[in-house]
Amino acid sequence: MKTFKFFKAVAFTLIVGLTSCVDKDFDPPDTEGIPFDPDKIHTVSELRAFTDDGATKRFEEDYSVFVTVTMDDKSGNIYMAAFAQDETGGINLRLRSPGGLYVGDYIRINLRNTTVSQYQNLVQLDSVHVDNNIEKLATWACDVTINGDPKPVVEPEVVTIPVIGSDAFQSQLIKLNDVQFASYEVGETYADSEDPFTAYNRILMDCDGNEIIVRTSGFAVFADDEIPEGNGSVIAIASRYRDDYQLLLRSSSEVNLDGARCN
Amino acid sequence: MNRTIFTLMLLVVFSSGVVMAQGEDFQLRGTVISSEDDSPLPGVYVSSMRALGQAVTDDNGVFIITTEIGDVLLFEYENMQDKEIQVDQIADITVSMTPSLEDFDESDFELPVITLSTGDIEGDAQSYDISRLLQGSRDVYVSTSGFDFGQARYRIRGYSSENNAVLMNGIPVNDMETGRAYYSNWGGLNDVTRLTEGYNGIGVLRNSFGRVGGATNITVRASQFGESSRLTYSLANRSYNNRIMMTHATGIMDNGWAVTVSGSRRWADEGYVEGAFYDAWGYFFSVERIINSDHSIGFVFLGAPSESGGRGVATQEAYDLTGNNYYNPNWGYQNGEKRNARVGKYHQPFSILSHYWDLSDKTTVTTSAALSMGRGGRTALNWYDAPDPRPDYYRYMPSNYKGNQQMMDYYTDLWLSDPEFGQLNWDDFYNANVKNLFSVNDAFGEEGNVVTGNRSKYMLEERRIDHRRITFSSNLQSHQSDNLILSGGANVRLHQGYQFKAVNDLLGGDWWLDVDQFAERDFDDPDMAQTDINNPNRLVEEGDRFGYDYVANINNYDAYAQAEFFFPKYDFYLSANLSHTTFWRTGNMKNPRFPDNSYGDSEKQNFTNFGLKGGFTYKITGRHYVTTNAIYKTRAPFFWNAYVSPRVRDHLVEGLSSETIYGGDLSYIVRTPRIKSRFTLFMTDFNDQTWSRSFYHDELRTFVNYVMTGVDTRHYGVELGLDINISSTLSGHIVAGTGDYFYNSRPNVSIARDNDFEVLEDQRTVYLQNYKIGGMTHTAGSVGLRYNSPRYWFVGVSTNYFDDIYIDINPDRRTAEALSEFAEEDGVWSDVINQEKLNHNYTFNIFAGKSWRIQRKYFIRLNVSVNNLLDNKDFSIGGFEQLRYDTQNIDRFAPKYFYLYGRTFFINLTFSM
Repeated sequence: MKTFKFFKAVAFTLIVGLTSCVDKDFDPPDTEGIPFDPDKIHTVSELRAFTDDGATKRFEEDYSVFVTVTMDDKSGNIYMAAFAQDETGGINLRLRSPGGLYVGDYIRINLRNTTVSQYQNLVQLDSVHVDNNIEKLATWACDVTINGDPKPVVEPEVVTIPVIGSDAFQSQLIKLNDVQFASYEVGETYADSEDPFTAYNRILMDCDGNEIIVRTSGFAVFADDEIPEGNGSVIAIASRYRDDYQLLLRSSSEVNLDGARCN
Repeated sequence: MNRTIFTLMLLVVFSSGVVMAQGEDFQLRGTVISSEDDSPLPGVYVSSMRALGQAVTDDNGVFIITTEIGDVLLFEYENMQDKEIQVDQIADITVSMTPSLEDFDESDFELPVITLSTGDIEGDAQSYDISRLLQGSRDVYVSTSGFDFGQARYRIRGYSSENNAVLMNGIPVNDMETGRAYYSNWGGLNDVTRLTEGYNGIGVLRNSFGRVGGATNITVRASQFGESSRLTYSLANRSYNNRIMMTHATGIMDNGWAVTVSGSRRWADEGYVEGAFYDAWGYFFSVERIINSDHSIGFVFLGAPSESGGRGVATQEAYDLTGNNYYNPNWGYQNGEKRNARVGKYHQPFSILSHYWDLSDKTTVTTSAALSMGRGGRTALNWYDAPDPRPDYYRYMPSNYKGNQQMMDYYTDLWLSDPEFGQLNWDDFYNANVKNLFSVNDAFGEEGNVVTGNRSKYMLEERRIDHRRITFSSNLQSHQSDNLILSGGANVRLHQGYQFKAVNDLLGGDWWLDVDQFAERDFDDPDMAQTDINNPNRLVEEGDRFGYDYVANINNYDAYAQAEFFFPKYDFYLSANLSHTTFWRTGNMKNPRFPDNSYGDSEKQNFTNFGLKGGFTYKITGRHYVTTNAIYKTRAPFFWNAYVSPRVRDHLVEGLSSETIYGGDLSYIVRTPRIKSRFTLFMTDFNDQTWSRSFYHDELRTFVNYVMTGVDTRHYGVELGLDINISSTLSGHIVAGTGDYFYNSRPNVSIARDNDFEVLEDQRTVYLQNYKIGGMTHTAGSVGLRYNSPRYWFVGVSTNYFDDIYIDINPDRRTAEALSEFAEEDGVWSDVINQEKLNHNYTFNIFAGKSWRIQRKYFIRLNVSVNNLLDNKDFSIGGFEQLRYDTQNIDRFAPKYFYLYGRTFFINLTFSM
């Protein structure tokens, strides 16, 4: 009899216990897209123009710019930055945190809360937050964007060292043919991973003696690769610091110097 | 019929015995029964006040003791009032014991679990607080340490919990990888885990050699539970808010069967700490069949599945910015609901099959086989090419911008103006993941296979520690004579621990690409960034294993023997054990950076260890004793300390060797009906320990494996426990312990880059000598008073004092390399090397209770306990320095602290019969 009463009590408390559930399942939230106003679109050259004569502009509204990423930070050669361009020009992006953009990404940047300015003569778009400012429309592998539109194709522009020196292709992906590293650079490494906070400048020249700096960070994954001795082509991003024109390599495999040297 | 009258009649009938001359001793036989239901009481301690002998009642409640006319016998049994009987004739006696008014079991009041050191916080271990076990002890020092001191994570003698052996029905249950006992494996099963025997420090337990901190065996044999039913409801405001426990025991029934079942449920939507939910069950089934008077067979099956949200610890800066010493950075809102990122989920069911054999009337042999298996895991956020999502990441703290007032003000304002700035933002993770279009080349290792989808930038992984362990154990106990008890046995434990991580929630993304982010950054060759070169470029989804996957194989064979000698004026014992441990790692992933040392079985490591211990008790009188114990043993290294980086490779710590542990204690014990007291001096040395951690090293700018060998520690101190019956209704206790627990060597450290063989630093010396073992209090004291009313209610208070609390230090800061840029006169020098001592503090606890007896059969008990009555929320009970540090700005990675909970209560209502 007492056992029966006990089990009645058990049954009652079981019900109480079982229905006091702890909520552990979580519904995915509705996600917000990055705001877009089709009447507010800038091109890269328009963005760059805002910095004429050293001016800066901070964007408070939902203006957008469509660009393709030409250099990311995966190699370690740049940090918390990227380079991107459209058919009107190139621009350096300074990111709020490292990573998130990859070479070949075709993106729309919502410019709200970013600032365009010049830093030591390099035009930059500053405070770009990859999660909050960027919508990815296509990757390197896609032929069409997520909206079904054809994706613009970006190829390195073949130029010469003097043309780079005219600042006409700042922050764009370029290719130089018939170039070689100065003979004293041959056998050195691009930089030194044991001295990571120092970026090294190596001199690249054409057969007319025009020179340009190839600048590599000690954090680059190819920092300890040896500089080849031959003549050939180099693909890089054209950057600038004050009056120095500098090439930034994306990878040492884009330095193809196996031909005979000019001199 | 009135049992008391019958007992009196028995005494009258037997009083016509022969009266012997005083001074001649004889063997007195008696039976001890419970006054509630006349059932025999086994395990009652009987001692002669003239120190002529002592005994323990057997399963039938029967004892035989050497005594003489005029002697006084003291009967002690837990939960019963002590009884004294004067011996006035040579005749069998029956002694009836009544339940004590103090049937308030402090172990009902579970304590908040607080993790202790970096390894524990960042690690995924279960709670291993043993204070619950200690509260059930009969020793006033030990039980107070469990209850009043446990809230401040006091560690008896400064030992960490792998120094306590815990057994269940004679089967050792300590985890084999870490050595700790996870009492949470039977959480909520308080009703059926109350029958414990053992000792604290160095002593004797007949079914185990034990460890230097003690040994406890929990009996869960069905025949040991008296017939009873019990239902408990509890209300609290600690880690959980509600608890229900139900237990029914049949006792030994007429048909020779005994069954005990128990179930429990504990839950809270949010416990004391914000964002920490609790959801746990417990189940227990024990059955025994008495086959005949010599044999019985028992089976036990239990488990305690639990899921709970983690509480975190943070820097004082974060506590100050949020105005909350219990600030928990691990939760945030998702769709308006609180979601915790560090959810621990454990379920490790355990079953034991035992054979109990009375080989003769002196000797019993118990043989058991046990299977323990289950899952354990804790979730954590992981992220790739994304800003650190942790709200208290150092870059989101104002102190990171020391020197730049504008930035400091900017971040301070963010913390102060937006309460959600200090919490996770789950909605942001989903927003980022659903638009992170990414194309993987050569997906799943298939050349040219390009997969495009939303790659999760943020995801929730679960770091798992599953296991399966088979144990065989056999134990023999033989009461050879009144003077000699022999015991001994052997254990075989075969353990496999499965360590891996699995995707728990992709947070809106389509998949996660399994690559090692640090290797990707450091190596040009994309193959080197793989976690498993046998399965490169895996796109993993919910439930898939990734990252690391290995098995810890540990086999242990152990034998022990003990002899206990009892003489009127003195007792002594000797114990020895011999054990052999074999362990090896089996990797399930081939790491490209260590291709020959990651996949498959590693070399087997073998260690043979022994232990010797002994003790001597001199009985000055029946009430005053002096006891001394000593132990010397070696111990094989624990698996988790033996490998430099077990997740990735099987390279062993160089110079891996067994630890050596030795020590002793000396106690003066007083036991009278009025006073129970123990005063102890102790000292123990642990030599040649290994300390292994992985973390991001700022100076070397990479993820490193940091291994210290030759770590020696010394623990010495005093303990005082005093329990006084001031009057028949008033009792009090004074408990105090203080000690010095410190590092006693200058260990050698080797630092290896996690990603490759490169040993970045070898033979760096850590000047650790004399630094205190941190993260805990070295001095604790308690004074308490309790009033027991004859009308079955009681009330009590205690004041507790804690001092000498040092924080756990980062050994790397005490090296010549850390200080290389400073001179001793610089203020910075002492900032880097000083060990912080926290402020001493007090707490006040009260407790009260009442019981009602209905129709002689049913009991209702109500107990209330309030801890930290004055709601002191400024009592920091421990902390640790972060392993990552910046000598240029030592505050950048400031220590993290944890605080004692404010006022908490626990109310228990129990119905039993």
